[in-house]
Amino acid sequence: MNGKRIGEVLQATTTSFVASCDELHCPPDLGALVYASNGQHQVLGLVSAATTTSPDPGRPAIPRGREAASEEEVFRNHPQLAKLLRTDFTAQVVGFWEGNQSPVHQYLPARPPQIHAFVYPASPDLVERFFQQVDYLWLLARAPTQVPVEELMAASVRQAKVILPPERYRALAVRAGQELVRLFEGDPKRVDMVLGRIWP
Amino acid sequence: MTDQQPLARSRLGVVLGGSLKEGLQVRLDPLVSVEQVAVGRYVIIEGEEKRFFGLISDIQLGALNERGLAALPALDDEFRRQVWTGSGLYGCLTVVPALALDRLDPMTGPQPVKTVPRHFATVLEASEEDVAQVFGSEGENYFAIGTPVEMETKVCLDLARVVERSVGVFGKSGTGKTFLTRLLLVGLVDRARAANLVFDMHNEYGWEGTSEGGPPPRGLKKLFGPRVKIVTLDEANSRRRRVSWDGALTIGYDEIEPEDIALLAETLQLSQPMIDSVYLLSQTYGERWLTALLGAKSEPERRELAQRLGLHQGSLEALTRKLRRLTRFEFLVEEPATKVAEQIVKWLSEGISVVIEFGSYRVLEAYILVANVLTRRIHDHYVTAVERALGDSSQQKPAPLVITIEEAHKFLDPRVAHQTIFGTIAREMRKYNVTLLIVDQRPSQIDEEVLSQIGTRICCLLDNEKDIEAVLAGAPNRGELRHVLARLETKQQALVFGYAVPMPIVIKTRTYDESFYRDLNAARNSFGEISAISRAERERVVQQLTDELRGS
Repeated sequence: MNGKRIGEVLQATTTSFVASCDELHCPPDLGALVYASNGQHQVLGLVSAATTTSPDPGRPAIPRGREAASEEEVFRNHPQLAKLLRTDFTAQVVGFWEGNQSPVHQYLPARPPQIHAFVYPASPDLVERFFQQVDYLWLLARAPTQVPVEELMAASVRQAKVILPPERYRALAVRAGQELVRLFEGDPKRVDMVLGRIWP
Repeated sequence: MTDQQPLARSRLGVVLGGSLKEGLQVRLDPLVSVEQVAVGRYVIIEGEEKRFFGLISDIQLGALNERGLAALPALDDEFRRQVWTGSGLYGCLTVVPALALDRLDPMTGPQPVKTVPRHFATVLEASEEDVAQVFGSEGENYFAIGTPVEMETKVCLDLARVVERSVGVFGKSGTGKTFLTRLLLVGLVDRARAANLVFDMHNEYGWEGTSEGGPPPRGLKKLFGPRVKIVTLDEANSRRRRVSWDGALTIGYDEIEPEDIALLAETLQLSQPMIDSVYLLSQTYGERWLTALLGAKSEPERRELAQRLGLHQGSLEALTRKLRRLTRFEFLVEEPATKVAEQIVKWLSEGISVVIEFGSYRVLEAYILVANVLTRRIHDHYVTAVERALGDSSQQKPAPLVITIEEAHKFLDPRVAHQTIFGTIAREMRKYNVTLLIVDQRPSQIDEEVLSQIGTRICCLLDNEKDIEAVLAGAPNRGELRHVLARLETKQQALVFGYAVPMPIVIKTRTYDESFYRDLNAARNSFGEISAISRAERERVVQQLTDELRGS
């Protein structure tokens, strides 16, 4: 029971994959949980970066809106832009699951997602199942992400805020915080950077 | 003892490391606050093959990153506090393992530890049942002296072991030494484990004691009637206090030996040459030396005495002046009229306890003198009796005797311990069934050798470093016990360790009041009577009772 697809895998490694967004300028949120199949499992990724560029190095984006009254007008006046530009996002692999009811494993799957695999956003139910554990923070901590890893961690936890009831979100935030204390070996600056972003 | 899972044990944490020598490091679970635990509490560690019993000796605050602590925000919101507590910040205990119970062979009972539990062994708060398992329940040979801190279970002393080796009750002034001593004496008399000779300097043990508020605690005589005799040194005082005494003790001049005077050197401010003169006098006049010295009343008599001994007259006069101070004690007489001392020996050998009351003579000179003179006589009697029993199997060894002395450091000071009879008793009288119950506030001033012979030690609060060191000398894990000892409450708490208990434990002293007297009576009725009948008979009675209960 997949939701509406949001993109398609263009590059895949064991630890991360890059997908192209179906809609320009509409990447999933930073830290959002997405998944794509590797033929065997559904590989879970956390969105760690998004970029919108021109895929053709010979035709970089140039300013086009000097005469336009609004940003929308730029795109109306240059309909080709929607084809020339592309929004891509990178997801860090944080686990996988086998079937709808099977448990979510927060460790690396045996194989990366396939190229051209469709990427789907995680349903609230999947997010809830995913956050029964916080082991994924250890995978994130070691990932070479573009954004500061603390930002990414905080963003990932924050997505549960709208899904879980307040007391369960608090419990999750505490558990994640405690895991981070261990992960950062009690470095108060790094821990507090995340804590400040997930609570209240 | 069984291996069944216990009922009311709350989990405290897990073993992280440590050693048998230094104690185990236990990390508290995040939900257990350091404020919930206390030094001196008793814990269970569930090892793989053994269950360990241990004592909390220290509590620390741990941090995953000590250096980063300074950069930590104030944690003034509940969320941050919750995150950090139990992960980056945690409570730590040092636990001294003392006993281990083999799960595979539970019938052997708790044994002294020879190893430590594995890593991450679960640490639980000991339940009442655990404590009862280790410290036994009250019985003919077990006497409850208190309860563990914040528990209701009884902590019992093995009385047979109490009398087998000397016992020390230590603690600074006002910490409850007298109450503990009285309690111990009651136990010994009640369970008829030993005859007691108590040198009761402050008139606390015989008739009734003094108490800060509340009715005066009953003394041994009031509790046990004919099984205890009070002998007074000061009839007028005893009469005033309405004590019913059994004899008045007098000591003759000829019973005082030069050693007794040597012991008084400090209190009477006698110089070494003066002591030497006393020995010289004794060589010349034998046991009548003091009569000879004090009898020389006129100046010519004293000159003649000095000439005869070859001493300087001036120094002899100085000695006379100092020793004349002793004559103010009315119990000291030239010719004792009655033979109370012999009666005391007789009572003791019949198993009857004797309390010597000092009345108004609450001075050290009187105490040291009487205790030494009387004990020497008893010592001689016991040595003869035991040796006779060894040579002739038809003769019985005398019943164990426990001699209670207060201000013990005055008798057992390293400078005099080798000369006094108490030093001898402490060192070797175990063979003759005589042991000491030493009550003192300055254990550091007691001779090391004597201290090492003390089997069971009951320590109330001590704050002098040297005293703590002295009390713990020779005890395993003394580093950890030191923490426990220094943190006892000022009243009603004591650390008990040594021969008569299976492991060190902090107790809250049993209250000594009406309920105690009632318990004592009840206990006496339950096993006092049973002990009179044979084991087979006892089993028959138990069986009968069980059948009756089943039938109803």
